[in-house]
Amino acid sequence: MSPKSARQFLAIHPPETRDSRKAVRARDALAKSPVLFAEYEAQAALDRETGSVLAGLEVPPAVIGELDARVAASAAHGKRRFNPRDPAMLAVAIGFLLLVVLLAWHFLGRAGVFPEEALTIAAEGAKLRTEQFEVVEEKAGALDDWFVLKGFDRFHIPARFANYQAAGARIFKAENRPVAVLAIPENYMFFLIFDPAPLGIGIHPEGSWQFTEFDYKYAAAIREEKGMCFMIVIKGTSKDLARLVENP
Amino acid sequence: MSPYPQEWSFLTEAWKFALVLTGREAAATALVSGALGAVSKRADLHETERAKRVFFSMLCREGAKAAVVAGPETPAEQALFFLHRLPEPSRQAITLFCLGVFSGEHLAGLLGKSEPELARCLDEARQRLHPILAPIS
Repeated sequence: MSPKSARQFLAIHPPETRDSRKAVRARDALAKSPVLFAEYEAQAALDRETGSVLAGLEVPPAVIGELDARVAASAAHGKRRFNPRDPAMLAVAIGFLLLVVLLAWHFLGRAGVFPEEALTIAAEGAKLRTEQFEVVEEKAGALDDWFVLKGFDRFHIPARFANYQAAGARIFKAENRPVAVLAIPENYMFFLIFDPAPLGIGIHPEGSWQFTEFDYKYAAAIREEKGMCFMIVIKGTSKDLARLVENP
Repeated sequence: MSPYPQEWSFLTEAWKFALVLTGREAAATALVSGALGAVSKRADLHETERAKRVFFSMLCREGAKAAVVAGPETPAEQALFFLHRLPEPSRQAITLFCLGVFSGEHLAGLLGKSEPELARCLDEARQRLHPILAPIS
Protein backbone atom coordinates (compact mmCIF):
# COMPACT_ATOMS: atom_id res chain seq x y z
CA MET A 1 0.00 0.00 0.00
CA SER A 2 1.43 3.38 -0.99
CA PRO A 3 1.37 6.27 1.52
CA LYS A 4 -1.16 8.09 -0.69
CA SER A 5 -3.62 5.20 -0.87
CA ALA A 6 -3.09 4.61 2.87
CA ARG A 7 -3.98 8.23 3.49
CA GLN A 8 -7.16 7.87 1.39
CA PHE A 9 -8.11 4.69 3.24
CA LEU A 10 -7.65 6.25 6.67
CA ALA A 11 -9.56 9.37 5.66
CA ILE A 12 -12.86 7.52 5.53
CA HIS A 13 -12.50 4.85 8.17
CA PRO A 14 -14.07 5.71 11.49
CA PRO A 15 -11.96 5.62 14.64
CA GLU A 16 -13.19 2.24 15.87
CA THR A 17 -12.17 0.48 12.64
CA ARG A 18 -8.67 1.92 12.79
CA ASP A 19 -7.40 -1.12 14.67
CA SER A 20 -8.31 -3.52 11.88
CA ARG A 21 -5.45 -5.32 10.12
CA LYS A 22 -5.84 -3.19 7.00
CA ALA A 23 -5.85 0.01 9.05
CA VAL A 24 -2.65 -1.04 10.84
CA ARG A 25 -1.05 -1.77 7.45
CA ALA A 26 -2.24 1.61 6.19
CA ARG A 27 -0.74 3.39 9.20
CA ASP A 28 2.56 1.58 8.68
CA ALA A 29 2.58 2.61 5.02
CA LEU A 30 1.70 6.18 5.97
CA ALA A 31 4.65 6.37 8.34
CA LYS A 32 6.90 6.37 5.25
CA SER A 33 5.65 9.85 4.37
CA PRO A 34 6.14 12.28 7.29
CA VAL A 35 3.96 14.93 5.66
CA LEU A 36 1.00 12.65 5.07
CA PHE A 37 1.47 11.08 8.48
CA ALA A 38 1.36 14.48 10.18
CA GLU A 39 -1.75 15.34 8.16
CA TYR A 40 -3.36 12.10 9.27
CA GLU A 41 -2.42 12.70 12.92
CA ALA A 42 -4.11 16.10 12.77
CA GLN A 43 -7.20 14.51 11.20
CA ALA A 44 -7.29 11.77 13.81
CA ALA A 45 -7.01 14.32 16.63
CA LEU A 46 -9.90 16.33 15.17
CA ASP A 47 -12.01 13.20 14.70
CA ARG A 48 -11.28 12.14 18.27
CA GLU A 49 -12.29 15.56 19.53
CA THR A 50 -15.56 15.52 17.58
CA GLY A 51 -16.19 11.89 18.55
CA SER A 52 -15.66 12.63 22.24
CA VAL A 53 -18.13 15.54 22.10
CA LEU A 54 -20.72 13.24 20.51
CA ALA A 55 -19.98 10.33 22.85
CA GLY A 56 -19.95 12.55 25.91
CA LEU A 57 -23.36 14.06 25.20
CA GLU A 58 -25.89 12.75 27.69
CA VAL A 59 -29.26 12.07 26.13
CA PRO A 60 -31.83 13.81 28.34
CA PRO A 61 -33.81 11.33 30.50
CA ALA A 62 -37.08 12.66 29.09
CA VAL A 63 -35.92 11.76 25.57
CA ILE A 64 -34.82 8.28 26.69
CA GLY A 65 -38.23 7.77 28.31
CA GLU A 66 -40.07 8.95 25.21
CA LEU A 67 -38.07 6.74 22.86
CA ASP A 68 -38.41 3.84 25.28
CA ALA A 69 -42.19 4.16 25.17
CA ARG A 70 -42.04 4.37 21.40
CA VAL A 71 -39.88 1.20 21.23
CA ALA A 72 -42.32 -0.62 23.53
CA ALA A 73 -45.27 0.52 21.43
CA SER A 74 -43.59 -0.56 18.20
CA ALA A 75 -42.68 -3.93 19.76
CA ALA A 76 -46.32 -4.48 20.76
CA HIS A 77 -47.61 -3.26 17.42
CA GLY A 78 -45.00 -4.68 15.14
CA LYS A 79 -44.83 -8.30 16.31
CA ARG A 80 -43.37 -10.45 13.57
CA ARG A 81 -46.09 -11.24 11.09
CA PHE A 82 -46.14 -14.18 8.75
CA ASN A 83 -44.17 -13.32 5.69
CA PRO A 84 -43.19 -16.21 3.41
CA ARG A 85 -40.18 -14.25 2.17
CA ASP A 86 -38.86 -13.73 5.69
CA PRO A 87 -35.62 -15.81 5.81
CA ALA A 88 -36.47 -17.07 9.30
CA MET A 89 -39.92 -18.25 8.18
CA LEU A 90 -38.34 -19.83 5.11
CA ALA A 91 -35.81 -21.67 7.26
CA VAL A 92 -38.57 -22.95 9.55
CA ALA A 93 -40.66 -24.10 6.57
CA ILE A 94 -37.71 -25.92 4.97
CA GLY A 95 -36.82 -27.49 8.32
CA PHE A 96 -40.40 -28.66 8.80
CA LEU A 97 -40.55 -30.14 5.29
CA LEU A 98 -37.28 -31.96 5.85
CA LEU A 99 -38.61 -33.34 9.12
CA VAL A 100 -41.77 -34.60 7.41
CA VAL A 101 -39.72 -36.22 4.62
CA LEU A 102 -37.36 -37.79 7.16
CA LEU A 103 -40.20 -39.19 9.27
CA ALA A 104 -42.04 -40.50 6.20
CA TRP A 105 -38.86 -42.13 4.93
CA HIS A 106 -38.20 -43.62 8.36
CA PHE A 107 -41.66 -45.09 8.90
CA LEU A 108 -42.39 -46.13 5.31
CA GLY A 109 -38.94 -47.67 5.12
CA ARG A 110 -39.54 -49.62 8.31
CA ALA A 111 -42.96 -50.83 7.24
CA GLY A 112 -41.71 -53.58 4.96
CA VAL A 113 -38.70 -54.61 7.01
CA PHE A 114 -38.60 -57.53 9.39
CA PRO A 115 -37.83 -56.00 12.82
CA GLU A 116 -34.24 -56.55 13.95
CA GLU A 117 -35.33 -57.21 17.55
CA ALA A 118 -37.80 -59.86 16.40
CA LEU A 119 -35.06 -61.54 14.36
CA THR A 120 -32.94 -61.82 17.53
CA ILE A 121 -35.87 -63.53 19.29
CA ALA A 122 -36.42 -65.85 16.32
CA ALA A 123 -32.74 -66.84 16.37
CA GLU A 124 -32.96 -67.52 20.14
CA GLY A 125 -36.10 -69.59 19.64
CA ALA A 126 -34.58 -71.61 16.81
CA LYS A 127 -31.66 -72.63 19.06
CA LEU A 128 -33.96 -74.28 21.64
CA ARG A 129 -33.67 -78.07 21.86
CA THR A 130 -36.57 -80.44 22.49
CA GLU A 131 -35.43 -81.29 26.00
CA GLN A 132 -35.58 -77.64 26.98
CA PHE A 133 -39.39 -77.67 26.62
CA GLU A 134 -41.97 -78.86 29.10
CA VAL A 135 -44.10 -81.54 27.56
CA VAL A 136 -47.67 -80.53 26.78
CA GLU A 137 -50.36 -82.40 24.95
CA GLU A 138 -52.77 -79.69 23.99
CA LYS A 139 -53.77 -77.75 20.95
CA ALA A 140 -51.79 -74.52 20.64
CA GLY A 141 -54.91 -72.40 21.18
CA ALA A 142 -55.75 -74.17 24.43
CA LEU A 143 -52.52 -73.35 26.22
CA ASP A 144 -53.40 -69.90 27.53
CA ASP A 145 -54.17 -71.24 31.03
CA TRP A 146 -50.88 -73.11 31.04
CA PHE A 147 -49.01 -69.91 30.25
CA VAL A 148 -51.03 -67.87 32.76
CA LEU A 149 -49.93 -70.32 35.45
CA LYS A 150 -46.33 -69.75 34.32
CA GLY A 151 -46.81 -65.96 34.66
CA PHE A 152 -47.37 -65.12 30.99
CA ASP A 153 -50.88 -63.73 30.91
CA ARG A 154 -51.23 -62.29 27.41
CA PHE A 155 -50.87 -65.49 25.46
CA HIS A 156 -52.72 -65.20 22.17
CA ILE A 157 -52.61 -67.41 19.08
CA PRO A 158 -54.32 -66.31 15.84
CA ALA A 159 -57.43 -68.46 15.35
CA ARG A 160 -56.14 -70.11 12.17
CA PHE A 161 -53.11 -71.53 14.06
CA ALA A 162 -55.00 -72.49 17.21
CA ASN A 163 -55.57 -76.12 16.14
CA TYR A 164 -51.95 -77.11 15.72
CA GLN A 165 -50.96 -79.79 18.22
CA ALA A 166 -48.20 -78.57 20.57
CA ALA A 167 -45.62 -81.01 21.93
CA GLY A 168 -43.73 -78.64 24.20
CA ALA A 169 -44.02 -75.20 25.74
CA ARG A 170 -41.78 -72.89 27.69
CA ILE A 171 -40.99 -69.29 28.42
CA PHE A 172 -37.63 -67.67 27.82
CA LYS A 173 -36.43 -64.14 28.30
CA ALA A 174 -35.36 -61.85 25.50
CA GLU A 175 -33.99 -58.54 26.72
CA ASN A 176 -35.59 -59.39 30.06
CA ARG A 177 -39.02 -59.70 28.49
CA PRO A 178 -40.91 -63.02 28.53
CA VAL A 179 -41.41 -64.86 25.24
CA ALA A 180 -43.81 -67.81 25.09
CA VAL A 181 -42.61 -70.61 22.79
CA LEU A 182 -44.45 -73.63 21.53
CA ALA A 183 -42.82 -76.56 19.79
CA ILE A 184 -45.13 -77.80 17.02
CA PRO A 185 -44.17 -81.19 15.59
CA GLU A 186 -46.04 -80.58 12.33
CA ASN A 187 -43.62 -78.95 9.89
CA TYR A 188 -41.06 -78.78 12.79
CA MET A 189 -42.26 -75.31 13.73
CA PHE A 190 -41.91 -73.00 16.68
CA PHE A 191 -44.60 -70.51 17.61
CA LEU A 192 -43.32 -67.55 19.56
CA ILE A 193 -45.63 -65.06 21.26
CA PHE A 194 -44.43 -61.85 22.92
CA ASP A 195 -45.41 -58.29 23.72
CA PRO A 196 -43.84 -56.10 21.01
CA ALA A 197 -44.26 -52.72 22.75
CA PRO A 198 -41.39 -52.92 25.29
CA LEU A 199 -39.05 -54.08 22.52
CA GLY A 200 -40.04 -51.21 20.26
CA ILE A 201 -41.39 -53.55 17.60
CA GLY A 202 -44.30 -52.47 15.45
CA ILE A 203 -45.79 -54.45 12.55
CA HIS A 204 -47.92 -52.28 10.29
CA PRO A 205 -50.61 -52.72 9.23
CA GLU A 206 -51.86 -54.97 12.01
CA GLY A 207 -52.50 -58.51 10.81
CA SER A 208 -50.06 -58.34 7.90
CA TRP A 209 -47.16 -60.80 7.69
CA GLN A 210 -43.49 -60.05 7.34
CA PHE A 211 -40.99 -62.69 6.39
CA THR A 212 -37.28 -63.20 6.72
CA GLU A 213 -34.64 -65.90 6.48
CA PHE A 214 -31.73 -66.31 8.86
CA ASP A 215 -28.80 -68.56 9.70
CA TYR A 216 -29.03 -70.01 6.15
CA LYS A 217 -31.67 -72.62 7.06
CA TYR A 218 -34.42 -70.92 9.01
CA ALA A 219 -37.31 -68.71 8.00
CA ALA A 220 -39.50 -66.59 10.23
CA ALA A 221 -42.85 -64.90 9.73
CA ILE A 222 -44.26 -62.35 12.12
CA ARG A 223 -47.55 -60.54 12.54
CA GLU A 224 -49.15 -58.40 15.23
CA GLU A 225 -52.63 -59.07 16.54
CA LYS A 226 -54.42 -57.73 19.61
CA GLY A 227 -51.25 -56.01 20.77
CA MET A 228 -49.17 -59.21 20.76
CA CYS A 229 -46.68 -60.50 18.20
CA PHE A 230 -47.09 -63.99 16.84
CA MET A 231 -44.02 -65.40 15.11
CA ILE A 232 -43.53 -68.71 13.33
CA VAL A 233 -40.05 -70.12 12.84
CA ILE A 234 -39.42 -73.10 10.58
CA LYS A 235 -36.49 -74.82 8.93
CA GLY A 236 -36.95 -73.75 5.33
CA THR A 237 -37.35 -70.70 3.20
CA SER A 238 -39.60 -67.67 3.23
CA LYS A 239 -41.53 -69.22 0.32
CA ASP A 240 -42.25 -72.35 2.37
CA LEU A 241 -43.39 -70.20 5.22
CA ALA A 242 -45.54 -68.00 2.99
CA ARG A 243 -47.33 -71.10 1.68
CA LEU A 244 -47.84 -72.31 5.23
CA VAL A 245 -49.18 -68.99 6.40
CA GLU A 246 -51.61 -68.76 3.52
CA ASN A 247 -52.85 -72.33 4.00
CA PRO A 248 -52.24 -73.28 7.61
CA MET B 1 -24.40 0.94 26.99
CA SER B 2 -27.63 1.45 25.09
CA PRO B 3 -30.79 1.56 27.23
CA TYR B 4 -32.77 0.06 24.31
CA PRO B 5 -33.32 -3.53 23.16
CA GLN B 6 -30.59 -5.03 21.00
CA GLU B 7 -32.40 -4.39 17.70
CA TRP B 8 -32.72 -0.71 18.62
CA SER B 9 -29.31 -0.35 20.27
CA PHE B 10 -28.39 2.42 17.80
CA LEU B 11 -31.18 4.76 18.97
CA THR B 12 -28.88 6.85 21.18
CA GLU B 13 -26.55 7.55 18.23
CA ALA B 14 -29.58 8.11 16.00
CA TRP B 15 -30.95 10.74 18.36
CA LYS B 16 -27.60 12.55 18.54
CA PHE B 17 -27.41 12.49 14.75
CA ALA B 18 -30.98 13.81 14.55
CA LEU B 19 -30.07 16.56 17.02
CA VAL B 20 -27.16 17.60 14.78
CA LEU B 21 -29.51 17.70 11.78
CA THR B 22 -32.42 19.54 13.41
CA GLY B 23 -30.65 21.58 16.08
CA ARG B 24 -33.59 21.05 18.46
CA GLU B 25 -34.15 18.27 21.01
CA ALA B 26 -37.89 18.06 20.38
CA ALA B 27 -37.45 17.94 16.62
CA ALA B 28 -34.73 15.28 16.97
CA THR B 29 -37.00 13.14 19.14
CA ALA B 30 -39.86 13.56 16.67
CA LEU B 31 -37.56 12.66 13.77
CA VAL B 32 -36.27 9.52 15.51
CA SER B 33 -39.79 8.53 16.63
CA GLY B 34 -41.06 8.87 13.07
CA ALA B 35 -38.25 6.73 11.66
CA LEU B 36 -38.75 4.20 14.45
CA GLY B 37 -42.44 3.91 13.66
CA ALA B 38 -41.79 3.57 9.92
CA VAL B 39 -39.00 0.97 10.27
CA SER B 40 -40.87 -1.15 12.82
CA LYS B 41 -43.82 -1.40 10.42
CA ARG B 42 -41.62 -2.75 7.63
CA ALA B 43 -42.04 -6.54 7.50
CA ASP B 44 -38.90 -6.98 5.39
CA LEU B 45 -36.46 -5.46 7.90
CA HIS B 46 -35.70 -8.29 10.27
CA GLU B 47 -31.95 -8.00 10.02
CA THR B 48 -30.71 -5.38 12.51
CA GLU B 49 -27.91 -4.06 10.27
CA ARG B 50 -30.31 -3.54 7.37
CA ALA B 51 -32.92 -1.94 9.63
CA LYS B 52 -30.20 0.40 10.92
CA ARG B 53 -29.19 1.45 7.39
CA VAL B 54 -32.81 2.14 6.42
CA PHE B 55 -33.35 3.98 9.72
CA PHE B 56 -30.37 6.28 9.22
CA SER B 57 -31.18 6.88 5.57
CA MET B 58 -34.65 8.07 6.70
CA LEU B 59 -32.99 10.39 9.21
CA CYS B 60 -30.65 11.72 6.50
CA ARG B 61 -33.52 12.32 4.10
CA GLU B 62 -35.94 13.90 6.58
CA GLY B 63 -33.30 15.65 8.69
CA ALA B 64 -31.85 17.43 5.66
CA LYS B 65 -35.19 19.22 5.29
CA ALA B 66 -34.83 20.92 8.70
CA ALA B 67 -33.70 24.54 8.67
CA VAL B 68 -30.60 25.63 10.56
CA VAL B 69 -31.70 27.06 13.92
CA ALA B 70 -30.64 30.49 15.07
CA GLY B 71 -29.19 29.35 18.38
CA PRO B 72 -29.22 26.55 20.93
CA GLU B 73 -31.76 26.51 23.76
CA THR B 74 -30.67 23.51 25.85
CA PRO B 75 -27.27 22.15 26.97
CA ALA B 76 -27.55 19.23 24.54
CA GLU B 77 -28.32 21.56 21.64
CA GLN B 78 -25.44 23.76 22.74
CA ALA B 79 -23.01 20.82 22.79
CA LEU B 80 -23.69 19.85 19.17
CA PHE B 81 -24.42 23.27 17.75
CA PHE B 82 -20.97 23.49 16.12
CA LEU B 83 -21.89 20.42 14.03
CA HIS B 84 -25.41 21.64 13.32
CA ARG B 85 -24.01 24.74 11.62
CA LEU B 86 -21.96 22.78 9.11
CA PRO B 87 -23.30 22.70 5.54
CA GLU B 88 -24.53 19.51 3.93
CA PRO B 89 -23.32 16.96 2.96
CA SER B 90 -20.29 17.51 5.23
CA ARG B 91 -22.50 17.74 8.31
CA GLN B 92 -24.06 14.30 7.85
CA ALA B 93 -20.76 12.76 6.77
CA ILE B 94 -18.63 13.96 9.69
CA THR B 95 -21.33 13.30 12.30
CA LEU B 96 -21.99 9.72 11.18
CA PHE B 97 -18.26 9.17 10.76
CA CYS B 98 -17.47 10.31 14.29
CA LEU B 99 -20.44 8.48 15.80
CA GLY B 100 -18.83 5.34 14.34
CA VAL B 101 -22.17 3.75 13.48
CA PHE B 102 -21.08 2.65 10.00
CA SER B 103 -17.91 1.51 8.28
CA GLY B 104 -16.43 3.80 5.61
CA GLU B 105 -17.92 1.70 2.80
CA HIS B 106 -21.40 1.65 4.33
CA LEU B 107 -21.24 5.34 5.13
CA ALA B 108 -20.39 6.16 1.50
CA GLY B 109 -23.30 3.96 0.36
CA LEU B 110 -25.70 5.56 2.84
CA LEU B 111 -24.84 9.06 1.68
CA GLY B 112 -24.92 8.01 -1.98
CA LYS B 113 -21.28 8.88 -2.57
CA SER B 114 -18.17 7.14 -3.79
CA GLU B 115 -15.36 6.66 -1.28
CA PRO B 116 -13.22 9.50 -2.73
CA GLU B 117 -16.30 11.80 -2.64
CA LEU B 118 -16.89 10.84 0.98
CA ALA B 119 -13.23 11.58 1.73
CA ARG B 120 -13.65 15.06 0.19
CA CYS B 121 -16.81 15.72 2.26
CA LEU B 122 -15.03 14.68 5.43
CA ASP B 123 -11.99 16.80 4.63
CA GLU B 124 -14.20 19.79 4.01
CA ALA B 125 -15.94 19.24 7.34
CA ARG B 126 -12.61 18.86 9.13
CA GLN B 127 -11.34 22.11 7.63
CA ARG B 128 -14.43 23.89 8.91
CA LEU B 129 -14.19 22.24 12.33
CA HIS B 130 -10.48 22.88 12.78
CA PRO B 131 -10.75 26.54 13.87
CA ILE B 132 -13.58 25.60 16.26
CA LEU B 133 -12.06 22.51 17.85
CA ALA B 134 -8.34 23.31 17.70
CA PRO B 135 -8.57 25.91 20.51
CA ILE B 136 -10.43 23.37 22.69
CA SER B 137 -7.78 20.71 22.33
